[in-house]
Amino acid sequence: MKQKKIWVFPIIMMLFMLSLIDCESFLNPDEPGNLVPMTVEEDPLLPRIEVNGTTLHSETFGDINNPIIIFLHGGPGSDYRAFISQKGSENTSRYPNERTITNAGLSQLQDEYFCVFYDQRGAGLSPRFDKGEITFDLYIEDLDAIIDHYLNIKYTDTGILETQVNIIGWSYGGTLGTGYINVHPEKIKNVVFYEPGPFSQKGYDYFIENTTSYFAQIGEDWLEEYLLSKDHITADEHERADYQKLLGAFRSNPQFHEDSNCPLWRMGAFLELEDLGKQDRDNTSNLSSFQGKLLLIAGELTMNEYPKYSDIQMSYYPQSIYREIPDVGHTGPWEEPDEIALVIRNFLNQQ
Amino acid sequence: MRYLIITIILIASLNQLSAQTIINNSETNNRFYTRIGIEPSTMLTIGYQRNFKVKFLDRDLSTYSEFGLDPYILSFKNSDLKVGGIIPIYEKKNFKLLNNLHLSLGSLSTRNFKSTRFAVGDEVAAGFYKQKWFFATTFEYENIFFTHIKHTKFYRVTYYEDAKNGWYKGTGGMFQFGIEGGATIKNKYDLHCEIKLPFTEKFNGYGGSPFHVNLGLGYRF
Repeated sequence: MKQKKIWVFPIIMMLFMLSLIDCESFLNPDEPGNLVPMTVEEDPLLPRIEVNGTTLHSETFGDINNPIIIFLHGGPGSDYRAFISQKGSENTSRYPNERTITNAGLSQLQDEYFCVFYDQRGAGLSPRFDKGEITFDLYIEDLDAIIDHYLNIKYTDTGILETQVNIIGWSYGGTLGTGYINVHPEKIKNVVFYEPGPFSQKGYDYFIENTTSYFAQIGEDWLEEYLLSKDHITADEHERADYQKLLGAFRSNPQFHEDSNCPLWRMGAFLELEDLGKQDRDNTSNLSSFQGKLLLIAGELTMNEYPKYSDIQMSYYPQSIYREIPDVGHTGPWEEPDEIALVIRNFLNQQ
Repeated sequence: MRYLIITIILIASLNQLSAQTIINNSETNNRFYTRIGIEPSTMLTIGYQRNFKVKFLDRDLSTYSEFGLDPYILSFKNSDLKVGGIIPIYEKKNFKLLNNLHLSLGSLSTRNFKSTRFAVGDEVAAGFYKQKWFFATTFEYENIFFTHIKHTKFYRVTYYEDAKNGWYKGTGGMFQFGIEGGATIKNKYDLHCEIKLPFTEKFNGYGGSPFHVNLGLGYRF
């Protein structure tokens, strides 16, 4: 009986002390802003646009009188921060009034073009959605709504009636851009892609065949950190999932030769679970109707790993030009924005 | 060099598999063991287990403590310390229902943050335990009770400058369902193998390896 009392007492004490732990003194990992930045739904100071029944993180640079360029970021799930930042300079703040540089990265094109940047639905600082709510067709609808929005603003503010915009897409932005052109070829004047994601099953298969699998990367620091982090944080909610996903940002594909210092605000981790045309969707059936030209830009280091990729991709467009940037990989637009902007200017100005 | 060390450890551990689970009809009270596997990253673990007879519970209690390291990183900054106790809650002939309650302290150092977590877990194993072998199905739940997170300068500069350092409650938990088995050789050497299917505490995919797998070797004395 005495032994029973001896064992029971410390157990009761421990339970009592545990009950005293004040939950208010702990931080909540799912509270917006603790681990990752808030989205436009949670932070009223972020720039935004209201289109297609949602609010998206978005901003513009330049004069609306100039030709319009819509920028499509990669991922899916990434954001446009690397488009408006550049290596060697302070990473662009998510708050426009805190920026010391206002024309970094490819936003330097604002001197000749009206540049529109937005975070795709469920990505970056745009709102999050539950699984199954975001589809590739919805992404195309959002882009169409954004294009119409700015064409209407242009007409209203300047009297200039235009029916077309230019598109610049990076990585998955190329997949999305091609999917859009396949549906609305008449709305795009010319298109520039930097190392675009696959347009077709053929491109996807070639990409996979030449890419090191995650399994083969066992032992790499980023993968061990990422896997071990699952014992510290389980990705059941958007904030935790997005936070954890950043551990692999710009490190998970050695063939991309990415600079891992490339900045982001936030990744939309749950988008990995969605069918967003990244894999086996064919977005090329109507590209023959596209009257404009494609400028495909790639980094030398990446194309050394995927030598046939650019030819496969360009084969779907009726008119295309290829330019290669030396000594860079998949983060080229952030590493060498001046060189890439010059290539883009020369291309667009000639069309 | 680290890959050579890992290879040597792997070869050595493959010759010595150690069971964490008690085989109650053992005559010895002590066991050293080592275990290597994927859970959730690659982990190399060493441990010590001791059996007691708890009179007031009229049960055998096996307590253990173990320390695990990621063999590729080989740093105390990426490690896990676990202490626990295993007790049979039901026995009929060779069929046993065992309960394994454990506390763990984990340390993680990444490019984005450093983390220390305190977790409590409980595993129930139901199976057949003979003198020379055992086989059981397992069910485990672990809750991360609280976690201290400190963000690196890299994270603040590259991603989010306003990230909050501090103690976080409720960073997650997991369920695991699995099977395990083991054999004893010459009443001294234990071989142990387990495979588990992990889920988050909301039964979403855990991410990473679809299975957690461990091979273990022990020595009784």
